[in-house]
Amino acid sequence: MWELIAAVAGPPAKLFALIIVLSAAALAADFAVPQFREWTRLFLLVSAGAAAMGPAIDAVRMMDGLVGKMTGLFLGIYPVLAAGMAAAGGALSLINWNPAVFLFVQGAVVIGGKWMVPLLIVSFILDYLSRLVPEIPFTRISEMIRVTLLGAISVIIACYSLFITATGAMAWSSGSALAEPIKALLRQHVPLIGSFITDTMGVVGKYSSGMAPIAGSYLIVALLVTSLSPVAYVLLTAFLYKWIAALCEPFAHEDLAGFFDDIGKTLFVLCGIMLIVAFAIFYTAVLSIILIKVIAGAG
Amino acid sequence: MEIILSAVIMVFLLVMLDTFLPRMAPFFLLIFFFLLLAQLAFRVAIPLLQELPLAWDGPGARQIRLIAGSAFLFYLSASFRDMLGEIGYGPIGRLSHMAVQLMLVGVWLGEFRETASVLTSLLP
Repeated sequence: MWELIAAVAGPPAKLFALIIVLSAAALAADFAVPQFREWTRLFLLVSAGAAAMGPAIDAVRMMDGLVGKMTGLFLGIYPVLAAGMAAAGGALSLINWNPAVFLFVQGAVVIGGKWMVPLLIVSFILDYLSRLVPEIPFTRISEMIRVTLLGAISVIIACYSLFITATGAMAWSSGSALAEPIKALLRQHVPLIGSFITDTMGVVGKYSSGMAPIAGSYLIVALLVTSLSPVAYVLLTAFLYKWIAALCEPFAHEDLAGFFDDIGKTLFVLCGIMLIVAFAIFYTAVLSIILIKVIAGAG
Repeated sequence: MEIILSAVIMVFLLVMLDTFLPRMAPFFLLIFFFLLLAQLAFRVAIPLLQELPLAWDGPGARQIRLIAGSAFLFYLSASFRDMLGEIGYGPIGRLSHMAVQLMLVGVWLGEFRETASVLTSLLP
C-alpha cells in the first residue's frame, strides 16, 4: 500500500516543487519588470504546461494499456470460456449465465478505449488551450465532454448492476449493514464519481459474496485488490492534482491553479472509465475461476 | 549606490548642458543614457543573471534562467524604446523593440515545441 502511495505521490510532489519555483521566478519577473506581465504569464503556462501534464499523461497511458490488454484478453479467452462453460453444463445453472453479459462487458471496454479515452484527451488539450489563450475559450466544450462521459459511464454501470441482478442469483448478503455508511460517505465526499464508486462496490460486492463459497474469500479479496488498484491509482492522482491546485492558488498564477483544477476534474472522469475496466477484469477472472471449478467437479 | 551617484552627477551635467548648449542636449542625453545602462547591466544585472544557476539547480532551472533573461532583455529594449521616443525617434525605437520581441519568441520556440510535442503525443 505504501509503495502504491509513494509511486503515485512522487511525480506530483516533484511537480509541486517545480510549480513553486517557477511561480517564484514569475513573481520576481513581474515585480522587476511590470511591462513584461503578459509575456510572463504566457511563458509560465508554456513551461509549466508540459511538466504539469506528466502524471496525468502517465495515468492516461496506463488506462490505454489496460484497455488494450483487456481487449486482447477478451478476444482470446471468451470463446474458450464460453465453450467450456457450455460443455460443462453445470455452470449455466450455477450463475444463470447469459451470453449477452459477455458481449456487454466487451462492448463497454471497447467503447471505453476507442471513444472515452480519446474524448478525455481532447478535453485535456482544450482545457490547456483555453488557459493558454483566454481570448479563445473552450471551457464549455470541455465541460460538455466531461458531462457526456459521466452520463455514459453512469449508464454502463447501471447496466452492469441490472445484468447482475437480472441474471445472477447473487445476494448482497454479508456486511451490507456495515457497508452502507461507508457508501454514503464516499458518495458525498468524492467529487463527481463518488456514487459510481459506491455502485461498483455494490455490484462487485453482490458478485463476490455469491462467489465466495465457490472460489474462496481470500481469492476474491485478492481479485478485488488487483482489479481496483488502477482505480485507486487514478483516484489518488486526481486528488493530488486537486491538492496542488489548492496549495498553489495563493501564489501561483490564477490560470495555472485553474488548469490543475481542470486536470483533477478530468482525472476523476478517467477514474470512472477505470471502474468499467476494473469490473471487466473482475468479471473475467471470476468466470475463469468458476469454469475451472466446474471442470474440476467442485461446482 | 555608485550608479545612483553617477546618475545624479550625470543629471547635473545634463542640466548644465541644457542651459548652455540646448541643441546638443538630445545627443548627450543619449550618450549618458547608454553609459548608465552599460553600468547598470555590467555591474548589477549580468552578475545577478550569472548567479542564478548557482542559486537553484533543481527542476525548472532552465526555465527560470529563460524567464529572467527574457525579462531583462525586454526591460532593456523597452527602456531603449522609451529613450528614443523621448528624443523624437519613436518609430526607430518601436522597430528595435519589435525586433527584440521577435528574438524572445525565437528563444522560447524550443519550449513551445516541447509543450506542443507533449500535447500532440497525447493524440491517438
